[in-house]
Amino acid sequence: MMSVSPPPSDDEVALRAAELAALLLERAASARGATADDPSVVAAEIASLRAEVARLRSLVGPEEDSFVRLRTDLWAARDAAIGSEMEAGQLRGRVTALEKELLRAQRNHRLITHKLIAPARRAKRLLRKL
Amino acid sequence: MPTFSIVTPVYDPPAEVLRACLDSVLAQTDSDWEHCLVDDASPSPHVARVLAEYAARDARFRVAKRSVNGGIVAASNDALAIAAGDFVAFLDHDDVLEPNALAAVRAVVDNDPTVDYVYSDEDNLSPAGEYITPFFKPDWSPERFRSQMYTCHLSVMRRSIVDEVGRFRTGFDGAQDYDLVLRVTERARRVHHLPFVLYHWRMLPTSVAGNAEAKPWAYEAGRRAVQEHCDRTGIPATVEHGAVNGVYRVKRRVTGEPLVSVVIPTRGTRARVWGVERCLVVDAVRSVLERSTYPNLEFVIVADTAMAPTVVDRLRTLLGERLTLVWYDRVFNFSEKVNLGAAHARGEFLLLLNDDVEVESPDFLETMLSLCQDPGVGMVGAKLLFADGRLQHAGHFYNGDPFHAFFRYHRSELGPSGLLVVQREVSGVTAACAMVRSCVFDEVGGLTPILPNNFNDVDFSLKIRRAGHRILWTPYAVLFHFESMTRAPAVLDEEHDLLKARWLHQLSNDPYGNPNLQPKLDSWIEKPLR
Repeated sequence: MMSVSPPPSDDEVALRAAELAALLLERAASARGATADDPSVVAAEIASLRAEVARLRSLVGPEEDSFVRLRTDLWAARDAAIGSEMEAGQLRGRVTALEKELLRAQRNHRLITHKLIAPARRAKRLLRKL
Repeated sequence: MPTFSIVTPVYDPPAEVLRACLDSVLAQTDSDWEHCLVDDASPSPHVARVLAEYAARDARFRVAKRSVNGGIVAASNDALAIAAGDFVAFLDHDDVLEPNALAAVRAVVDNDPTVDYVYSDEDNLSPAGEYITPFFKPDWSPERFRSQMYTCHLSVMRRSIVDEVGRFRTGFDGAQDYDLVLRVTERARRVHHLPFVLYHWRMLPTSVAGNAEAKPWAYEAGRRAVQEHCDRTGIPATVEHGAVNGVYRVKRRVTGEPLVSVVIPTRGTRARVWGVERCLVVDAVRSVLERSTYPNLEFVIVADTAMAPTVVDRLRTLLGERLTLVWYDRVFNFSEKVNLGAAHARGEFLLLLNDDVEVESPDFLETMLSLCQDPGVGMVGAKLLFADGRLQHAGHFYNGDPFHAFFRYHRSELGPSGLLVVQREVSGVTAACAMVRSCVFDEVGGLTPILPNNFNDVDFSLKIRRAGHRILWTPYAVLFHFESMTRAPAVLDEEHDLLKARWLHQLSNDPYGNPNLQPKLDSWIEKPLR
């Protein structure tokens, strides 16, 4: 099982930041001694700074990754919210269309009952009496 | 000379079907007709026999026969060549006329000698012999006609104009009638719609009425016919196939790059949309800036003085020089706010826009602007959707009361006869998103302040139409409208009464609806027991 180191305390972070600042100042001072004619020194300096950035990033890595993940999760949640709302809208739209069809069917049924069936029944009753 | 020449090309119909067609002509209550029939070299011997039988029975049946099969265009033109009536009516060899069809047309043409083209409603005649799926059409709607051949049957045209435009054209087989009507209506003085089902279109497996896939080449011919119509009439457009077969999109081009003033009344409200809280006006402006591809815009924001300074700051950051901020310190009156904004606008065109919208189609401004540049058009409306994708606005429908057509149907609904997927004339559009020419806005005096909350757009639309301008709605400009997030959607009786007092007749007689439709509904449901 992978062990997880506890997050650094505020004091530790401050100490590391101070160490980094000192290191960068020291390297910048030594870099000023290099000339444009000596690109290998500059390249080495860049490589060393990059390595330092990577080291520092690895120290705060879990937090940085979490932030990116959180942001991705947020976008996904928003997309899911919009998607589910759209799906609900599709169903609601269908319900609206069906409600209109039902309205038409009920109206037609009412009319047929009142105008055709009811008079026919009345006529039938009348004929029976006769 | 008879008044009506009924023109029918005949090619191999079943005998009983042909007899039904000819009997429906014989049954006409108006007797002033001749029926010009051209047998296009039908292989079945019964065709000539039936035609000869009817010609012997009644001299008004004038029968000719082609020696070789020439197709529907050639046969129809042969029939037109022997026609002598003032008007020609087109009847397919398998369809049936109502007995009063010609009498109804006569009543129109006798009453108004400037009418050159008359069309009626129609339905389908099922294989079981039932009249089904009636098509209740709008009054003459040229923009819709460019999007689909909706006039179809029964079509009656002044013969002199049919001859003038050169009758049917070869190369448009399957859409020859669409092409002819396009050319005739370019010259017609008046077009009249008869809101009665006078024609029954028989559904056969091989007919377009029975199967939309039956004649795929016809749709391409239809597209070419509309493209040529646009080229002839100077409409700068490319015609494309639309959402369904037989529907075309006339994609117009914007002429020049005129300044469009986007007028947005707001009070800087915040609301939760799609699970996220937003400042409505800021996000509306941002969506126009980010999604719209039209460059020449200015934004006139009419803001309540109570609006938060942070909102103003964000608008200034977003818009910079393009922002004109107008403060409004009175009690809420939507009409007044829009009028105030329009007074500060410099553009040749105004886009009236609510603050609770979000742009969906990037070319919505070009689509609306290109339509608004048509000289006869005063205002153009868009397709607006609720947050869940249902229709909020697909044009107004004045059916006893003002309605949004097909309110709360799903956005993918086609509507009856493709109504929701075609650009078309409407009686009105919502001011939540409407493009209007500045000069038309001034001509009608803007929105009426005595309607501060509701119906001001209905009143505005009717004023524009009364001034002689057409109003169009397009399904190709799509925006979300998070309606009534900024205030409660309450309609007062006084507003309703005031609207009726001003426009009673217009609210019950929508020319782009149909008298056969059930009143007081937003959708196209026919009246019962018609």
